[in-house]
Amino acid sequence: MVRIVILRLLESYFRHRWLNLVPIALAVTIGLVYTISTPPNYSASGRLYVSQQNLLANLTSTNSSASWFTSAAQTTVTEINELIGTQAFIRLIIKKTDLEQRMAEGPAAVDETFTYARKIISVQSVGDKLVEISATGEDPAVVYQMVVSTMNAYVQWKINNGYQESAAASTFFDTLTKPYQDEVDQARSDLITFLTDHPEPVRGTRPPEEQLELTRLQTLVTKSEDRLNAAKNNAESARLSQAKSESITKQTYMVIDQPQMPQGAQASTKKMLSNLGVFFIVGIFLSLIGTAGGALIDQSLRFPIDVRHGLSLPVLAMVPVARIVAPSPATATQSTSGSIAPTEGASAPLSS
Amino acid sequence: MAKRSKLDTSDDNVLSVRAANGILQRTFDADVIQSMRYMGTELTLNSKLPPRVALIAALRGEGVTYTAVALGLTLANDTGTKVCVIELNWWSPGMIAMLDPKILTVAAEKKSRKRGESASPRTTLTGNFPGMAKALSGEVSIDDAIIHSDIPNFDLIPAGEVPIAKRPAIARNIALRHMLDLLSTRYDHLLLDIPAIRTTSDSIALASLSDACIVVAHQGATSTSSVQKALDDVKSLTMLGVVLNKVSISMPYWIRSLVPQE
Repeated sequence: MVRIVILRLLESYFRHRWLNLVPIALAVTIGLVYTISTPPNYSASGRLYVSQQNLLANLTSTNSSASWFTSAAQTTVTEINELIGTQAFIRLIIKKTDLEQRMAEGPAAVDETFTYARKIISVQSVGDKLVEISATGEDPAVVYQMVVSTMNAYVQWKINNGYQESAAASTFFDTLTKPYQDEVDQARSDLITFLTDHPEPVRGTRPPEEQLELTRLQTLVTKSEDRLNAAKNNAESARLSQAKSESITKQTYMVIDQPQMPQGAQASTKKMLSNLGVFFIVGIFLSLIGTAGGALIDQSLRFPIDVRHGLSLPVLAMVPVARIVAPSPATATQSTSGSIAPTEGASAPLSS
Repeated sequence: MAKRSKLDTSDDNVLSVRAANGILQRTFDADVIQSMRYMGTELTLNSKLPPRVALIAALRGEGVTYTAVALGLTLANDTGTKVCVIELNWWSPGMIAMLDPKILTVAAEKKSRKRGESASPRTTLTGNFPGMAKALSGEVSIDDAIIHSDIPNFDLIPAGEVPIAKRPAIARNIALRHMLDLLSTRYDHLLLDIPAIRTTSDSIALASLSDACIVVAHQGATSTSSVQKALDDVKSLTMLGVVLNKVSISMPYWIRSLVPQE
């Protein structure tokens, strides 16, 4: 059975060997048309240097977001990609590009613009500390703006993020300072009142009850003061963090390569060839399908093995296609001249 | 088999038959003769070739008449036995047309032009030979129906013309059997050209007049199922084997030889 299949497939291929080239030629032609008709693409890219450590961060014990198993660049790439997936961040990017004009055309246009923006922008790490943000599209101005806007939006987001955390902490501790201060004042007032009411005796020591109460009041004052100082210190730290956030962020994420406005379309021979290759492979695939289909449809007797397998009979002969040989002119003329009666030969008696 | 035929296909190996003072003639290709010679040799050496052989086919146009004449000619030429090809195909008689040089000329011209009108009107010589039909009806003797060829031991009997209504009866007529019996006494081998099995049930009755059958199938055209159905119709008869006719294999021989076919 396997031999029959192999023979039929091969015969199907060789029987239409030129026809089999048609799908390939057609696919390559479509590939050429597709490649030629595809609008030119422009590309712009910029690079961010992500510093894991800087002086201010070290002095203020600010930890990098990178861990021991992922580089800072990879962490940043992941973060940017996640942010691009959010509506707010992509909206922030688009706001500073020419795509903003489309946003006024309705909800459908907004969705399309978001999708387009996400499609044309790509972020990748280049080494451990470099992050490349690139955009490829049909409009050179838009791709340039997208890269610039993404870089700025990310840095600004980082700054805002740190600033907002510090501001929240500062506000929190500021609200605690006032009641803590009141408690300290109250404790001090209670101590003074007690000392006024119970002055130090001229001779001897205070009675044990007074001494015990005095110690309690003094401890209360100390505790209140410690709590107040801790709150003040934390509020100070928060204000310091608020001040250093922008500086640290700007030091951590430095723009190394500013994006440039693309001057020419990206003409990638490799991409063209790969496109053509894909179409060529599709053509071969179609050709193979045609060959297999031809073999499948063909149920005729083609090889001796078909006869033996299908009919269980031997093949006595394989008679090739006969050439039609025209008889000699003299003979042909003889045969066409007038009516022909049975000839002597035809009516001759049998010689048995 | 194909390789064997490729080895010996020079024009010296062609076989020609002429009959009726050259009114009928046909030259068979060396390739064709070589195939027939191979088949004839195998059948005669193994004593498989009975005196009366029917050449049958599932459908029309398989080349039964051509195969019968070529096989008969080769047998007569090679073995010296007396062979007669009897055409019993009143549904689609083709023996005279096949041997008619005029039709061959037109066909050759057509083929050389690929497409084109025939150079001259087509007239056949069928009506000029009484054939088996008139011999069976008693209008002529069997001797008058026989067409002798230039090869002394090779004769032909065309079908002649029989009205459609009379064909079933003539196919089952005892007179036909008697006539074949008579001819069997005169010839070593009778090759019966039977109409397509799947076109008329009369062909089953005609095929049963033989001792064994050879199935002719158009290679690459006739489906296995058609032939199988035809074989089911005549399963009571002895089958010698299958002749694949009009063989045209596009696959190169060296590739084909890589796949064992035995």
